[in-house]
Amino acid sequence: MHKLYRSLLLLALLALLAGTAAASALQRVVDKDNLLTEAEEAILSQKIQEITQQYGVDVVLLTQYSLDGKTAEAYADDYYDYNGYGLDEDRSGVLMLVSLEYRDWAVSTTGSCIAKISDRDIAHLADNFLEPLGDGEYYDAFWQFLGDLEGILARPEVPDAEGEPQKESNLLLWEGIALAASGIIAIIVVCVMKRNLNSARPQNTAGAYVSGGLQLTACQDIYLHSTTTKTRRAEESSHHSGMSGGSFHTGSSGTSHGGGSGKF
Amino acid sequence: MSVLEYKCPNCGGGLAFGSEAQKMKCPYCDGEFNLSDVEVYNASLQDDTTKDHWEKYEADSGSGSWTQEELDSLNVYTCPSCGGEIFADENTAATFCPYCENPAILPGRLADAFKPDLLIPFSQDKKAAQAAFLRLCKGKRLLPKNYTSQQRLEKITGIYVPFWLYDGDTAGSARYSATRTHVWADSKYNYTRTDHFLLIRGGSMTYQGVPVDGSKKMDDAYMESIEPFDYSKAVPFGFAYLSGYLADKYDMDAAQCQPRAESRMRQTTADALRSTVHGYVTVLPQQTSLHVKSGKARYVLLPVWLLNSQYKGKTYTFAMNGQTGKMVGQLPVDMGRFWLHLAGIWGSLFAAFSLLCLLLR
Repeated sequence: MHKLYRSLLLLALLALLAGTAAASALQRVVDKDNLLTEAEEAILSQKIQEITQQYGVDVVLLTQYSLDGKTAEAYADDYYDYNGYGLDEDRSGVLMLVSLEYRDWAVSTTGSCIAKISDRDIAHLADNFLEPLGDGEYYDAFWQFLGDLEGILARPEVPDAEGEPQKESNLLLWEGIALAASGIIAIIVVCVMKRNLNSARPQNTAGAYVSGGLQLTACQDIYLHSTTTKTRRAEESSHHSGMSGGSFHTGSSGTSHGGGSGKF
Repeated sequence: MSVLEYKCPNCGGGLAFGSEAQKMKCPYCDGEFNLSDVEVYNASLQDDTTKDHWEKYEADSGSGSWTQEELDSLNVYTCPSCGGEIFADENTAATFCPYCENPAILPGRLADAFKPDLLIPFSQDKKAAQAAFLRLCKGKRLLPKNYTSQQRLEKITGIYVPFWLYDGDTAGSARYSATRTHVWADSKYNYTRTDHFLLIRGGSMTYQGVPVDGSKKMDDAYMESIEPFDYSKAVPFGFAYLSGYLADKYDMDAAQCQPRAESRMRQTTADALRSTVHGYVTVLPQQTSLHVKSGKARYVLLPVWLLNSQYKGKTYTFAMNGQTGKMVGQLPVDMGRFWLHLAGIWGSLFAAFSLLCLLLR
């Protein structure tokens, strides 16, 4: 019986070790299309490790020639989900995909990164990495991306996550508004009270003394001309939702992702 | 300088017009008499033949007699009841003797051109006016304390105010530019079509009895605020109605007051023409021309209860229509109370808001 327990325990230990090894063995720079040199991959991996340690988010760079008919966005989402990337319970992280077949790029955000990296941030990232990407300088593009990403992650967090000091200043602001609003209302009320003390108003009309009403002698409505103006209708939906966080969609594995994609 | 006073056929006391019974009433013996009876009785009193007659002595003791102009400028009258001197300003037509408080009418002031065509007798008595004043003051938190004292209430006086009533026909035409809009859309664009129109309107209106007060002393805003009067209750002028009230003669004649009546007629006709325009999004008047064909102007005395009171050097007026009871007035503001209320309302609102902020936090 003891033997059985011991072997089970050993098995479990082995499985755990293997899992950990697999997780740590996951490549953060997956250069399937061989666009980077070994040295470049090493530098990028090093940078990713620094970002992960400092900000607690996973970062993956992926090059893949063919996307098997999927959109860049779906491919990026699925690759992230099915290969087990992400830290913590909510699997926070960012994946950047470059595909040369149709010159697609995609940035997929997951977990806390959806809120941290807004649509505007994605547009900013793309603005900076699209130029080197278009010129075929893939290492530069990835390096630029990582640098910008670090800048975004280093930014102070959104107000409601910051806690007490913000609430305190909010309260003061509301008190100020309450003071001003009640003052304005009080002044209006007292002025109305003051105005009510005088009820004498000159009468500029004499409707009470009309006998028989208005006798209309002419009543004509003459059409002159028409003018027509046209304005372009507003776009139905906006891709930018401001700084309040990123818009998100759900991948085939059921995990929510944010981010953006495009061509270069 | 004659002063008219109506004596009671019963006791000889000074009679006053009673608004309740619309009869002459004696405040001493409580007797009530028809106006016509009182007129006949008082006419008989003045008939010289019923009095003892003395031949006049010839005398040359004075330096001459007062001219009429000098007498007019004196404005001193002798009370027929007690012989006391009554001082009245040049427009006063009815007042009270300051010594015996008997009503005194100065008929010379309403002679010839100053004789009113019509008069509307008082229907609301002094008690009604006092109650109205108290109603006006009720709930006015900024009013100085004790403003509604009995002493002040006693000062409310009934006065016949001289008014001109203008009849007139207005004829006018107006042009407006107007627009109507239609909005529709297809898949790419929103369309707005604006149709432009020229509107022409013409019409006439007839007015009867647009009132303008003919007294410089009276503020037009107050006199216009207590309109309208019911002219169907107007009676031909008789001095007896003035008894017990103050009365003024006009000091602005019909021609001076006419522009005010015409401006009100014009405005009303212009508004009536504008009200015939319907169904447009924007309507801008381009040109309006109105012509007033003046009819006759009648001179009437209209009943008004009035209270003028002083507060911190400024005069505040309360006026009530003596026929319908409609009242207006300007009341003084106690600045201490003003700031107190401002602070109180501000403080309590701020407390309520703050509490709300804390609860919603």
